[in-house]
Amino acid sequence: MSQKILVVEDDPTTADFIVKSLTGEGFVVDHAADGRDGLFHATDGSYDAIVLDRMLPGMDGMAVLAALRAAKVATPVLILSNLGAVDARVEGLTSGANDYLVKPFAFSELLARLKLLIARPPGGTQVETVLACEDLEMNLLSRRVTRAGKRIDLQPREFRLLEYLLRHKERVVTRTMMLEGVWEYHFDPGTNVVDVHVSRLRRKVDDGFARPLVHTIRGAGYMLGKAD
Amino acid sequence: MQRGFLQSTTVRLALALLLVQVAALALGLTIIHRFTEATILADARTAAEVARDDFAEEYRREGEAGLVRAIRDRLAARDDRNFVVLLKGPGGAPVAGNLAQWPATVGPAEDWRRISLFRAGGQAAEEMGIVTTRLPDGRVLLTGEVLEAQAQLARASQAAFLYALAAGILLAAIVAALAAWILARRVDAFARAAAAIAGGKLDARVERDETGDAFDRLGVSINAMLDRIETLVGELRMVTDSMAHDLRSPVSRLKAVLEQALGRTRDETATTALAGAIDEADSLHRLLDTALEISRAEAGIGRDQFARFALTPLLEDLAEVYGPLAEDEGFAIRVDSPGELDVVAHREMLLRALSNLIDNALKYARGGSVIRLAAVRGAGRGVALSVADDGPGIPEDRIGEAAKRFVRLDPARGGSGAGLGLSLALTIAHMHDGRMAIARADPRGTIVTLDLPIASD
Repeated sequence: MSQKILVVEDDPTTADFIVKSLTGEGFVVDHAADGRDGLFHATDGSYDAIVLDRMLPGMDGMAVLAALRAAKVATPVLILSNLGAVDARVEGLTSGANDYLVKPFAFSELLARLKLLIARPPGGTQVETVLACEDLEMNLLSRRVTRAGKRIDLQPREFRLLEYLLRHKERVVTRTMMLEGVWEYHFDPGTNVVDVHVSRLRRKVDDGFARPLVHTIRGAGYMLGKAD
Repeated sequence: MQRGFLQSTTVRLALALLLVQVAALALGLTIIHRFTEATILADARTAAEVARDDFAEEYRREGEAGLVRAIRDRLAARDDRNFVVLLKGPGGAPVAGNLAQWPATVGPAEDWRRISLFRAGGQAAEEMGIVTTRLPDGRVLLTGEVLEAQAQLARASQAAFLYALAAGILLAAIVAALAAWILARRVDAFARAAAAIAGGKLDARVERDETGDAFDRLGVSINAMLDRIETLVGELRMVTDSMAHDLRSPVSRLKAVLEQALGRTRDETATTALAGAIDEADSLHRLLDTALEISRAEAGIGRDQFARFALTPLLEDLAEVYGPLAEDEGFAIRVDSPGELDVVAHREMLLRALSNLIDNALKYARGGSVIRLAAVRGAGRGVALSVADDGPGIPEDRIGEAAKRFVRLDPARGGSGAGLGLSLALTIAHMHDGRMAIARADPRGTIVTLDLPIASD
C-alpha cells in the first residue's frame, strides 16, 4: 500500500514542486493551500506524514500543529520554515514538530527526512542490542563491531556514525542529517567534513570485502547497504 | 592600552586650573606687596628728609654744638628705634650719630638711597634708606630710617603667599575634581550609548538631561545622527536580507531541476557534471544562508537563546569533527583549554564561529602543520577563544582587509571559501558583546581571537 502524505503549502510553485516530486517517488499526495483546509484534512489521522509550511494564510502553521497535537493526532509533522536554521530548530523542538527544514530546501533532503519520519517506529524506540546490515554486525552492549565475523576496531565517533547509518540502513541519509544526528551540528560547516569521516569509516568497513556496504548517493548523501 | 596619568584629560584640566589659580594668586599678592612697600618707603623717606631739614635748620641757628646736642637728644628720646643719623666733620671723621662709620660710597648730596650699613654696636648690617646733605664748613649730615617694616612686610608677604598657595592648591584640586566629575558624568552618557551601539544595539541613544546646555545639545545632534544611521543600516539590511532571501528560491529550484535530471540520466559525463553543479548550487546556498545569518546576528536575533554550557567539551568536539579532514590536509588539531570553564553564550553560534575559523585555517594556512584551539580565562567575565595556525600568515598590511566581508586575501586562490566566514565570526563576537582580533602568530602563522565576556561564574 502506498504511503499518504499531506502537503500544506500556500505557495503554488513550491507546492507543485513538492507534490510532483513526491508523487514521482510513489507517494499518494494530498495538497492543502491554507491552514484551515490543512487542519481539516490532517485531523482524520490517515496520513503517514505531514509537510507543513510555517507561514500560511488564514491559520499559521504553528497554530495548525498545536491544534493537531491538542486533538491527539500523532502523525509525524515536518515543518518548512523561513527562519534561519538555528531559530527553526529551537521552534521546531518546542512546538511538537518531528522535524524541520529551512526553506528553500533540496528535494533529496525533504525526501530523506520524510522517509525517516515514516519509518520511525510508532511506540518510540524499542531497546535494541544488536544492529546489523547484511554481514555487518554491531553489538551495542559490548560495543563490538564485526563484518563476516571479523572484528573491526572503531573510534568512538566512527562507532556513532556507523550506528547512525545502521539505524537508517537502506535509506538515503543526507550530510545534514548526519551532522545533526551524529555531531549535533545544526548548521552546514560547508566543507567536506562529513565526507572525510564517511570515507574513513568506509575504509574500515569495506576494505578487503568484495561487496561494499557504504554507498555514495550522488547529489544526496550516503546509504548503508542494498546496492544495486 | 591606557596612557599615563598625566595624559588624562581630566588630570590635565585640573593641573591647568591649578596653574591659573596659582598665577592669579601670585599676581594679586605681588601687587599688594608692591603697593604696601611703596607706602612704607615713602614714609621712611619723608621721615629722613624731615630729620635732615630739622637738623640743617638747627645747624644754621645753633652751629655745630647745637646740632650735636640735637642729634644726641633725638637719639636719647628713643621715639624712633629705626632712626639713623651721622654727622661727618670737615676732616672726614664722624662727629655725632649712631652709625659705626661714614660709608665710603655715600656722597655728600645723596637724594634717597637704599644701602646696607652697620649701626654703632650693631651685630649685623641693616637695610636702610638714607639722604645726605652738605653743611657749611665741609661738614656732611646723613639721616635715614632702617627699613625694618619693609623687611617685615617681605616676610609677611612670603608667608601669606605660601598659605594662600596651599589653600589655592586645595581649592583648585576640589574644583578640578568637581569639574572632572561633572564632565565624566556627562561624557558617560555618550560613552554608554556608543558602547551599546558598538554591541549591536542600534536603537541605543544618548540619555538627555534636558538642560539645553552644550552637552545636551551635542546629545541631541548625536541622537539625530544615530536615528539616521539606524534608518540607513535598517534599509541596507533589508536590501541584503531580501536579496539573499530571494536568491535562495531560484537556487533551490535550480537544485531541484539538477536532481531530477541526475535521477533520469545514466550517462557518466552528464552524471559527473550534474553532481558538480549540485555541489556548486549547495555552496551558493550556504553562502546565502551565511549572509542571512550575519544580518540576523547583527540585528541581535538569537540573544534570547543564550545558555550555559562547558567550553572544553565544545572545543574537543570541534577538534574531533574536524580532525580527519585536517589530517587529510596535513594538520593536527590541538585543544588547549583549562579544565572546566562554563560560559553563557549562544552555543550554536559560537560553534559556528569557531568552525568558520578552523575552516579558514585549513584553507589558508598551507604548509602549516598544527591548528590550535585555545580558551583562556581573562579578566572579569572575559574568555579569549582563539584559533591559531602555523601557516605563512597574513601579510601585516592586509590584516585589516581580512575581516571585511566578501574579501578573500588571495583573489587568485580557488576554492569555495568566501570571506563571509570571518565576517560571520566577527558578527558572532559582536552578538556576545565581544571583539574579534586577527594577528600574526608567534613565530609564524595567523591567530584569530574572540574576546568574549561570557564566563558564567
